[in-house]
Amino acid sequence: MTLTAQMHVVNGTFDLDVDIEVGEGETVAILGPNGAGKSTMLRALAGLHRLDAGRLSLNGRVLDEPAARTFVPPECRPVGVVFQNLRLFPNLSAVDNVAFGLCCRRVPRREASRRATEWLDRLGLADRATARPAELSGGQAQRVAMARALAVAPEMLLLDEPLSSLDVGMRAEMRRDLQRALGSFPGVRLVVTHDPTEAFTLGDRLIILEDGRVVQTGTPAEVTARPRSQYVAQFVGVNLLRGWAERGRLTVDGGFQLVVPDGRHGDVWAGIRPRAVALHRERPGGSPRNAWACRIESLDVERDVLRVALTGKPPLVAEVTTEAFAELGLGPGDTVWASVKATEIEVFPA
Amino acid sequence: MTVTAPPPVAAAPPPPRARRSRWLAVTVMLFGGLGLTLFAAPLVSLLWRVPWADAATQLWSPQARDALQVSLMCSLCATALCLVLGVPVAWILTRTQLPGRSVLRAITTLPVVMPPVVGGVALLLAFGREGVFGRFLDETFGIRLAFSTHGVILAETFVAMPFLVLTVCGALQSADRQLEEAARTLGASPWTVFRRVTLPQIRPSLLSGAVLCWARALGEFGATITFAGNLPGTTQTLPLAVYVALEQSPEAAVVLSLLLLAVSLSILIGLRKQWAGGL
Repeated sequence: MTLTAQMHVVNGTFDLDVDIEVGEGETVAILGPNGAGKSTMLRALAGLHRLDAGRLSLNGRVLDEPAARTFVPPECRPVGVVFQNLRLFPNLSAVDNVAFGLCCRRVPRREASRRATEWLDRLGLADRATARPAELSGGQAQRVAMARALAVAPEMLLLDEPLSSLDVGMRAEMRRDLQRALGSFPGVRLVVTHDPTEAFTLGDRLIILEDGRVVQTGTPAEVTARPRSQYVAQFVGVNLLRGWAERGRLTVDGGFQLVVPDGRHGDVWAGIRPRAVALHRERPGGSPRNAWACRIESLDVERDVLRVALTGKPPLVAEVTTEAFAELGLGPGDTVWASVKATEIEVFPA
Repeated sequence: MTVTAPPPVAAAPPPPRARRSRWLAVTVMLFGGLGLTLFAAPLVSLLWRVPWADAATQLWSPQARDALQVSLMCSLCATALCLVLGVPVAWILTRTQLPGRSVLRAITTLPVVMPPVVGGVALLLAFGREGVFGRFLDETFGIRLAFSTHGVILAETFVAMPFLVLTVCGALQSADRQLEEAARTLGASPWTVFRRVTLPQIRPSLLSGAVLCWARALGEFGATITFAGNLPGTTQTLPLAVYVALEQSPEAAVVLSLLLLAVSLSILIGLRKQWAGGL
């Protein structure tokens, strides 16, 4: 089972142009900031928005191909969607919500009810079958929406921000259940989200979407190790610089030069972990050859570590222990020297 | 620390505006009272003049019975017709990208503000024996709408349908499209989406629209008398019977009026939850 999608959608001034492939048995998380085109993409996959160009095929069956005048309407697509705001039918009980899709497929009422009850049972909601959506808790409603999408045995499951509607306390539990439900679903699984935690915990593979384009794909480990955009770097917690590498020297956009490990040549990204940044009152001597003066912008305590945001050329985030920072005797607004060992800078091609 | 006393407040004379506003209040009460009397006086007089003793016999007079029968039958048929035709019209006006929708909307709303007599004349020109469609219907199917019971139904539908269309348009516009999308991803055909998702959402509006429609059809006078005439037993509805009875036996007119009034009042009471700021 695979999804192959070359999607081009123009929506006013926004255009989405992505090319993705999702195989069977992997959960792919589409991650991107608001306005990156995630929902347009989800709508196009579900058939709620037509492609302007490209081709969308699931398990060999073409669902949308404007050039061939092919368009399969949403009701005929083997696609289950769990919407961000769930969209449960308020006038139907939980079991009738789940049975809705079966009834649309001409499953006899009694049989549909039986199967819907089975699904609710499987998701631990057997005792809430007759409740209306308004009477369900956030987590219960989420499960009903999940059961409703799964009950029609789709070939592809689309989840839109599945955890965002829940309060923080319930997310951990829901995440575990979601992982289990996703694991037992045999088809193509896509989670669309703007929440990195959600993407990293649910996705076997990440597709990072920005401005309607795929900027990076890879496993969470790969993405964490080598972020390819400021957006990714920010939530991964890595300082990311773009520049030109030549014989162990990196010229960062803006003219600043860094000493980096030799071996790469050309347009590159350079990742610097905040822990690798050392802070000094005076210009440091000795081995770290990359040192530059910065101003302390802000401080942020995270457990026993202090995240220090620095403005300078280039700006950086440093992580130091609270004791180490106290020894410096500096505060926001003061000038500080930042240094990074060349061996601590990871350079990878852009 | 010293505490300074507040400056002494002089007992100022009431500003000249106070007297003016009192005068204004009196005027508002006076005119408002007059207005309310204007509403209440006819209704009270009507109740006052009802010959309660022989109201039953008046109601069961053959003419009244015929008129009641024509009225009920025609207004219910008209309401059904409004539902069958009006909901698709509302759908076209709100859910399609049909060009010229605003013009269509204006045309469907027109009968609300148009004098019903004008409606009757227009209907005659279209469906009368010499009318554009009327001649066609007569020559092809032998159907004559003008001055027949069907004509009454047509006239009432024409006048009442805007009430249904406007109410349903509003409901369709505020219905949750997201639920309809969700239903489609679950495999619901457009018709199933309408039946199982949209309809439950617009049901209250559909109901109140239908009742408004029925009330309007029941009270229809101008278009009916112009297009369908005033033939006892076939086209004479209650309002027409009231008008005729007023010259022959005023008591009968009063009793029939009371009947129509009772219907209106029960509709108002029945629908008060639908209308904001209900009674």
